[in-house]
Amino acid sequence: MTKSTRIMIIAAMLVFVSAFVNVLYAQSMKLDEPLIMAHYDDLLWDEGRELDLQIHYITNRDDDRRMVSLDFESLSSSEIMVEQSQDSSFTFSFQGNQVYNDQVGRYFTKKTGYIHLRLGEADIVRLKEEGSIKVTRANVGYSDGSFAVVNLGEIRLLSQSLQEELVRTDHRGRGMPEFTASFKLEEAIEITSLDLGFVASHPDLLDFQMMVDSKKIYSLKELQSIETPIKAKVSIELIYTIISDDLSSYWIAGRVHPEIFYTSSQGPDSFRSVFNRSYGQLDEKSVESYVKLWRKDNE
Amino acid sequence: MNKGYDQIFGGYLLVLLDLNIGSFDVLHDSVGYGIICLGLLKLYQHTGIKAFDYARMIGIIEVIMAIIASFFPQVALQDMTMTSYGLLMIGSMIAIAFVYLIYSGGLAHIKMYSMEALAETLGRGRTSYGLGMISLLVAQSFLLNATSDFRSGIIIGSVAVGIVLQVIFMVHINSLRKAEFNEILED
Repeated sequence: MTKSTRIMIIAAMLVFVSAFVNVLYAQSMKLDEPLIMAHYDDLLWDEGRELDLQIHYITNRDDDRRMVSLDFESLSSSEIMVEQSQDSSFTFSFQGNQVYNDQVGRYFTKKTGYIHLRLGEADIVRLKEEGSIKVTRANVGYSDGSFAVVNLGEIRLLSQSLQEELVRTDHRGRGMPEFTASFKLEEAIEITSLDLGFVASHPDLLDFQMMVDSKKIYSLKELQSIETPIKAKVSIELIYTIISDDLSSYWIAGRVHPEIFYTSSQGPDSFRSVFNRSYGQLDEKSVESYVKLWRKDNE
Repeated sequence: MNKGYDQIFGGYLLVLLDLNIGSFDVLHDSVGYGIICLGLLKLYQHTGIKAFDYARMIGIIEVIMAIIASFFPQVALQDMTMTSYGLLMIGSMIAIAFVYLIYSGGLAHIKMYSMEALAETLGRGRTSYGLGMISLLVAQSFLLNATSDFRSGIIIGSVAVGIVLQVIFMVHINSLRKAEFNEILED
């Protein structure tokens, strides 16, 4: 065997080792089941109107399953239709396949299902009686006939409009995404505590501050243990700063839903700050960071 | 004698060129590989160089693979799945071994006639081709885990370097076509 042939054999072995390690790593990134992206939303219900929302889910890149049905566990008599997200820029394809508006990355594909919800009589009666219905879990059916019970996050169906006025701005400053939510107050309140949920459990990803009456700013640490109630007369502004630069503000905004407990002249009450109903465009990096975070929290 | 190299040259040209009518390649790769195999058989019969025979065996595998591949839709490198990745790696290794053996056969052949200058050129060509293609394959082995940007870089780099190395191979085969050893053997 010549020297040149020996070099070639060693090089070929290097290729196989590299390919093998790459296959192993790619396999380790695979999801066991499609991952439904947690969704926090408030939907206002009007008589005779459908409620629409988008459910985003992540499958392995080579998994061509699509969500075709969905049943919310806490709704008993409602009709739910799942419509696929299709790419409007293509009207046909040579293979005759549907062209979906999926976002394909190296490991995962992010897909979207548009949910149209028509409440049934029993659910309408319940909603009118209780004022709201929380939806947290659903039975999802996929195109291959498989089903899975999944956690959706928390979607609240509300029978009346929220009293608080939500104003959301989303801008970038110094390359670091920031987003805020402002609330105008009709009367003075005293904030007694905050349930910060995702924000409190991920201080390494997200910094949080609250500005009261456009003057005083409270840090996350101060808000986690309020000893003296915070007085607010005119406005409250919630300020989020994403620390990790591999996270998209689109989906992280969909995860924050702090509940603010207060007392006013009308007694104790609370309100929840929910952001967008859509995650917008999620790039490959953001989808991967979502999966990574989900694994960290759930596995 | 040089007819063997003519067939390798012509066959390889057919493999490199695609003329699609609809989705069917009129210049089907299997035909190209078949012609190369005929050339290799001729060279082996005349010279007894084992590398030509090994290359011919791999050439037959290439013919079969080209026929099988024509029944499946082509997968773009950027849409790589685990299966297409495995096929790419194995197919590429076979293709590299095929050309490498043809180089080796040609090199042994001209050494029999003490054509030192051409032997040196072919030796360098074989090493460049082997290491160049193997390097590309190592880079391509990262396609599964490469981000979109990196993946595009690998693909563009692979196509560019691959074309250059294949053109150089054609040039070297052309040199063998023109080498003056056929008459000596046929005498």
